[in-house]
Amino acid sequence: MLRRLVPFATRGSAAAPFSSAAPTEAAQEKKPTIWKIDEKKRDKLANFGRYAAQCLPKFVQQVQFAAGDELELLIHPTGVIPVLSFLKGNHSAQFTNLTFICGVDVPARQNRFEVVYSLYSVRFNARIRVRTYTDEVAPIDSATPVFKGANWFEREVYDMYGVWFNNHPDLRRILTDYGFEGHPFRKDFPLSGYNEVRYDPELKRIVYEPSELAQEFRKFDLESPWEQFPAFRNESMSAAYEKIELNPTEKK
Amino acid sequence: MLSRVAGAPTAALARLASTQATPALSSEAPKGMGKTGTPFLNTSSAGEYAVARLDDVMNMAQRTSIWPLTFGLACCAVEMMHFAAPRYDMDRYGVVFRASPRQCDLIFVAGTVTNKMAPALRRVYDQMPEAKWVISMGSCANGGGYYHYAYSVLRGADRVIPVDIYVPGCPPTAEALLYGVLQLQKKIKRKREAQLWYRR
Amino acid sequence: MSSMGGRLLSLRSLSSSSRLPMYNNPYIARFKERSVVSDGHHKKSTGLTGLFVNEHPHRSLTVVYSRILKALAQMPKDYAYRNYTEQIVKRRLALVQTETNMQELEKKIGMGQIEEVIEQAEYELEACRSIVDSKAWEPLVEEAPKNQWTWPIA
Repeated sequence: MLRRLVPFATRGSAAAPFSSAAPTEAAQEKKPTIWKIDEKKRDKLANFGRYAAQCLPKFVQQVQFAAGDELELLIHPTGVIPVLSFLKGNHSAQFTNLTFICGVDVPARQNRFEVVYSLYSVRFNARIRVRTYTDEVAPIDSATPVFKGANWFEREVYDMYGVWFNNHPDLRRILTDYGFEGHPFRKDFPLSGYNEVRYDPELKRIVYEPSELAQEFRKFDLESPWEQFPAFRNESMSAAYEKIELNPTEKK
Repeated sequence: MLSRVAGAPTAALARLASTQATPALSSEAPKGMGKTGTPFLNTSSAGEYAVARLDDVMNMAQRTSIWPLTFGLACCAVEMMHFAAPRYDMDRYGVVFRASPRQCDLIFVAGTVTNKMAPALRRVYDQMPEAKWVISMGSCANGGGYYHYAYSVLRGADRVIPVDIYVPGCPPTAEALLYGVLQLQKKIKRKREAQLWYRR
Repeated sequence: MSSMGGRLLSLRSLSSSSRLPMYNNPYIARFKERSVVSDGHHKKSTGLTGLFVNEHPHRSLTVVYSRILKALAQMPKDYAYRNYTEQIVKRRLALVQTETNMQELEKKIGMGQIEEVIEQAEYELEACRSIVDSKAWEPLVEEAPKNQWTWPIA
């Protein structure tokens, strides 16, 4: 079905890794740390992306490849449950495993938060990401009716960003402290927080106080003298996202 | 009585030095300490002498069987486990882990103390019976460490409990932790509880 | 003390926990009662935890597939999802109805054990219902705002 190329380290050649036995192997082994994109798998994923866009025209806004190999479906926020249950249930998809749900905060956008669902299909060994957007007040439907494992992930997104989820069985804070106010992963939340200094005085308990740091956080921008990614010298920054043409013949 | 106490070791040393030309033997006590290793040398009365010996005994009993409570929070806990493992065996120092705070006299704060954990840490410390010590292990417990500027990290365990020994490192090697425990033993040896009670 | 020791001995001598159940774990109890397989069946267990052997897979499969087809019938006729899924389901239904031997059927369908196939069909049914409820065949609800999906932002 969908095979993955054998990585360099497990190649069973008797020769030591630094001695090139055959010239063809040496040519392939020149860049062992760069991920080799399986073209057949990529084509299958692209086909699946087109199929999904065809099956769910109401919600899918864009289909793209991020980093050459990772399929992403960008959907409208009202379509979370139909899209996720389609991906879970469809016989040719079967993404039954929810790997994670996370959030992204880009304050410059109108809908500043993105919620990213990552799914994995055990049967076909394929991964897909579904992304939606919301702003600070509009809620998103919870994915817990479809995936029971979404429970704590959504609690984390709520705790860290403030994204509210409708129909969640138990939406409350999960990582931050019990009386914590604020959503830490937002970009306008300072690194050291607001009133998070605590000590134990004669009151015989822990108290919260406004922060008084002895020394502020200093960010050092230490540039290394060596180029970081020489293999990607000529790539532009936005080259990572490759949009998949859904309907090449007709205009959307 | 004082001269008799002080005279005995010096006479013995003179005898030893005359017979052999080897360097210092192991029976010679370090500077400032008596022959049995006690730091309480300058006692001025019989009562004080007796109480100093009592102190010696109490301290010896306490320092040779320090029972810690594992408070392994993060990565330093693994180094604490290494300390308990065969190579840097801590059981030979009498240090055995006890699970309950009511039965231990040392607490190793190993790892980052977050704001959420701090009341629990304080409560556990309060539950320990009186002769208690704290070893703060690793840079996160010493002063916030790697996560000093984070919003949810307690900048040092000494903000909520009084710390006796700070062991630096990220994580401190098990050997460093061993050194810290040994230093704590020396600190306990210097304790003067009975003598202070007597003086008052 | 001795009476307690005697009582302990008597407890240990009990072979099953039916007379003195000390603690009945409900999960284990439920697992035990669902995992009994009658002797004539060709497999004793699926090998997957939590997936229990289904002794009448033909019946289950036909029921679920017919429910899927009924749900699909509520969608418009030119809808791609409806057509593809009807193709798949009708093919599978035909296979199920012609082939009576379990192992042959599993091999022909090619999607793992028959219990997994039933599970896939159940998920597909939920997906169909969800799509019918949300009417996913309509054109795009709302285009994304400008710069929503552009990265980097500038």
